[in-house]
Amino acid sequence: MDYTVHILIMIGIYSLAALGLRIATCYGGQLAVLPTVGFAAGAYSVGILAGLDRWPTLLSMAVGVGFGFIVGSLVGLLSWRLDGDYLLLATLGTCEITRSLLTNLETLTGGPIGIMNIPNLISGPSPRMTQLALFMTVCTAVAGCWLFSTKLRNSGFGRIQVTVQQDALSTASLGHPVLRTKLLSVAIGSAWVALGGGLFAAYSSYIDPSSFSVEEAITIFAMFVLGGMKSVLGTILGVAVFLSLPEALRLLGTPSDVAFPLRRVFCGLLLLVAMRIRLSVFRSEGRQLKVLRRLVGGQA
Amino acid sequence: MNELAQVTMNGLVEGSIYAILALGFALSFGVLRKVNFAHGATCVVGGFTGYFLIVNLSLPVWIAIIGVLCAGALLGFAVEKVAFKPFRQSPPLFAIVSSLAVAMIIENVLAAVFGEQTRSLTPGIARRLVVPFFGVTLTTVQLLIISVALLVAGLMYLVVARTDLGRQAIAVADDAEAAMTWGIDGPKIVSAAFMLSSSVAAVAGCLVSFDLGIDSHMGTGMLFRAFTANVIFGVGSLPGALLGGLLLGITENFVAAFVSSQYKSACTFVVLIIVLLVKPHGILNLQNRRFS
Repeated sequence: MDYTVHILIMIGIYSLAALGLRIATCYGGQLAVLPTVGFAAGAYSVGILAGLDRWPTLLSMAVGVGFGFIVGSLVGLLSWRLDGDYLLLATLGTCEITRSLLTNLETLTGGPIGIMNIPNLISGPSPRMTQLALFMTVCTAVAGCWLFSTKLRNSGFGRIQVTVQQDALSTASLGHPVLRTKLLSVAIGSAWVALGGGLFAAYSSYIDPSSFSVEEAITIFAMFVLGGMKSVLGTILGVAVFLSLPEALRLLGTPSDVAFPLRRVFCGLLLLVAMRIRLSVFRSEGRQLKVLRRLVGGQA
Repeated sequence: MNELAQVTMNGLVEGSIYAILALGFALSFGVLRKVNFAHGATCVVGGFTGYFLIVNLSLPVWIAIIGVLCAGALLGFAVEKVAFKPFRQSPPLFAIVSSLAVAMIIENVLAAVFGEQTRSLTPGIARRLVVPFFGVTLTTVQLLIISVALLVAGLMYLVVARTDLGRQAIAVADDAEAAMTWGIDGPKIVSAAFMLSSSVAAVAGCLVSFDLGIDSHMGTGMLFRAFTANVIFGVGSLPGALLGGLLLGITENFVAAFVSSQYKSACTFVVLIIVLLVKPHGILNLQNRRFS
């Protein structure tokens, strides 16, 4: 087990999650945390089906992605009447409900102890080969997600997605199905997050509810915001910075029980700085909004 | 019957903590119309400050509570300056993310300094004496919690309803720009509202550490309770927040007693989501009542 490769795999897995958020959201960031429940959906699908019922891991991962899609479209319903602060809080609420269910439905999910001995996706001749193979798989998945994101954003649906997030009312007045667009965005994003969750379960071979708490959801959201929502590369870089920070602290000789909270302190500081910098960038991003307003005759 | 009364009583005690937490939340939300995600973290800081003052410096409870009030006010001032002031004119996401970031910083600094374990303190005056009270039993700690909560809620009512500062805050909450034309210093009022709101939250945290004990990761849960208590009757109304807090405390204790204690914290979120989906402006739609 090579430690650098381990970090790279974790970066890949969380990149999938952050990119899932990116698909659901847009420059406005309104729907940003909705798909995080997909992470638990994917991980526990693999945990229960592959770990307890001994299904093939790949098949259970596919089921997990489908389940993530369904859960995503259900959670997406929250965006029907809510936005901004309210939506974020309500979504984090669903994360806590999920964690609570995972802890309490002991017969299904193993309760607070979690599920152990989840078979890995690939088993190579040596642990090192297995790890490298998994690393390649994660890389492929991230590349696929990258390609998918780019294609989606340049498709007709992607363009409607942008206008819905900029100004839902005006978009509705042009005859676009606003709720359906939102639900589909969240569902697709959630499916990718679920893929990340499935890989997480298969790679770490052990899951428990603590990996799916509100704090974890906020962490995924923070990784995503840190890198910026504009480019895929930025999102991946944000995740990479967040996950390699504790390693840098470890090199400086900080004990791990202090390094873990310190990582989040640093991430918080980075987020504050990022928000300050982006304040100036954000103001130039309303172009599509202006076009929309011109079409429906509102104020630009 | 007796059990029912006892559960209600325990719910009221816990609810009174949630109520003052929610009052603080209503105040800061009222003047800015933005959620302060660091509200829960402020509450935790209050708990740790109280613990430090009472256990490490062995100060009497009432001095410790004054210390906690001051610590909360300072923190509120800082949070507003760092996370809200620069983003007054920008989309809501900025204030959301920056106050989340501040909450993250505060909670994890606490975790790094104090570690992960739960700390609870039974203040010196209150050994767990049991006081019979209309057929239910109350510990002296619970009595202390209720009386401090009542005191704080009363003081806050006086400040908002009877002082110039409070009246100006109501004006800013109603229409910040119009208030400015009447010579009210909007930013100063917002800052003051945040200080008051955070000091109240800190006291709530101190009370939590008397009752249940406090750990560095409680902030998020506390933020949700404050928010949910507000949402039930409409965000931004002080009486609504008070009633919402009490109701939430009772609901949680009923769920814990008659369903499963495991679902105690999840029930807050279920209430939150149901109310938001069915009645996003609160059951009584007190949303636009501006503190009244």
